[in-house]
Amino acid sequence: MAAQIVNLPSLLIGRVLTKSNTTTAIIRVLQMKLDDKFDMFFNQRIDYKAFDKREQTKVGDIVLLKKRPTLECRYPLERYEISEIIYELGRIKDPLTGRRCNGLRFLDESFVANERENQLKRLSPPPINATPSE
Amino acid sequence: MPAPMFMRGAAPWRNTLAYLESGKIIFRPIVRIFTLNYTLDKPDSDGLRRFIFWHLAQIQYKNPNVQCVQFKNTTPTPFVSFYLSRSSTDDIDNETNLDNNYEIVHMDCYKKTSNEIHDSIRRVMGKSDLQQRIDSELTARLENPANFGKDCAHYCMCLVYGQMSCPGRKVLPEHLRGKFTRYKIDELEDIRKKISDDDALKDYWKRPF
Repeated sequence: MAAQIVNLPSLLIGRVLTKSNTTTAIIRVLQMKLDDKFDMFFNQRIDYKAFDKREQTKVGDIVLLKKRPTLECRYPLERYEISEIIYELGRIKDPLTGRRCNGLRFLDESFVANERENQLKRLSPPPINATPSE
Repeated sequence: MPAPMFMRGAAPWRNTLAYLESGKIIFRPIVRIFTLNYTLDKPDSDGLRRFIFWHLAQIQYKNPNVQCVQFKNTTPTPFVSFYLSRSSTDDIDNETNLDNNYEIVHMDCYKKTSNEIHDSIRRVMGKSDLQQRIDSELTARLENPANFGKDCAHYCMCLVYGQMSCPGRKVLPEHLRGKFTRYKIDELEDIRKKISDDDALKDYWKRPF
């Protein structure tokens, strides 16, 4: 799974796979490669190691990688750095409108409040019983 | 081996080289990443889904250095965004590489048809027709493998597999040399009595130098 691409692109989007320590992350990047026989594009997964970053990314964030100028890199680890978190895990913000969203719907205030109420009603037992129940 | 194995699936002519070659969107060199956000079920992003079905392979084929990423069911509204950056992909340790700031351009695709999306992408981020023609003319000499010479793929035809070697390195058989065919015809006849032309050619190919 070595990076077989000749020219490393200067900007990449990928998802954080693992974080070995708070400053190193392995990021999985999907690029589409043309299959010779079928003439179709299939996603090829390449893992890059990104080095210096703000220690805010979690595993599962979608992240923008920026290439560092070649003078400063001594190892292949340090070629890319995380420059911006595009979609944070669990707190996706729609870039067009700026509202938080959860997949197919926006998390507006009223909706979230209703959801929380429903969850509380389902989880909490009727408060009269002394015996422990679920 | 099943014979017509390749023309399967929905609209299989999308997977032919002729179709891929006829893509019209070639991104300007600023564009680095092309991101597509859409939902799988909602009718709002129907145009974008069709655009992806028909045109994404063409775009990726014509722009192999652009990363095309699809985000499915991430946000409720469909949109397309471009990440632009001026720094090139080559390893240049210049000052220009530090100017690594990128810009993001979003393009809304809510309830747009795939043709509208295609046209607006082409107008905003694609190279114009004139620019494409200029580029193709500049690289025509390089691309055509029949050309050889200064700006082409190979400098001398001797580099191509199957062609005669450079006569400076490997002496040609006598019947192909002007020295013998024009001036020393008698010697050529003598040589031809010993070895025929075809055998001389075969010896030529067998010789390493």
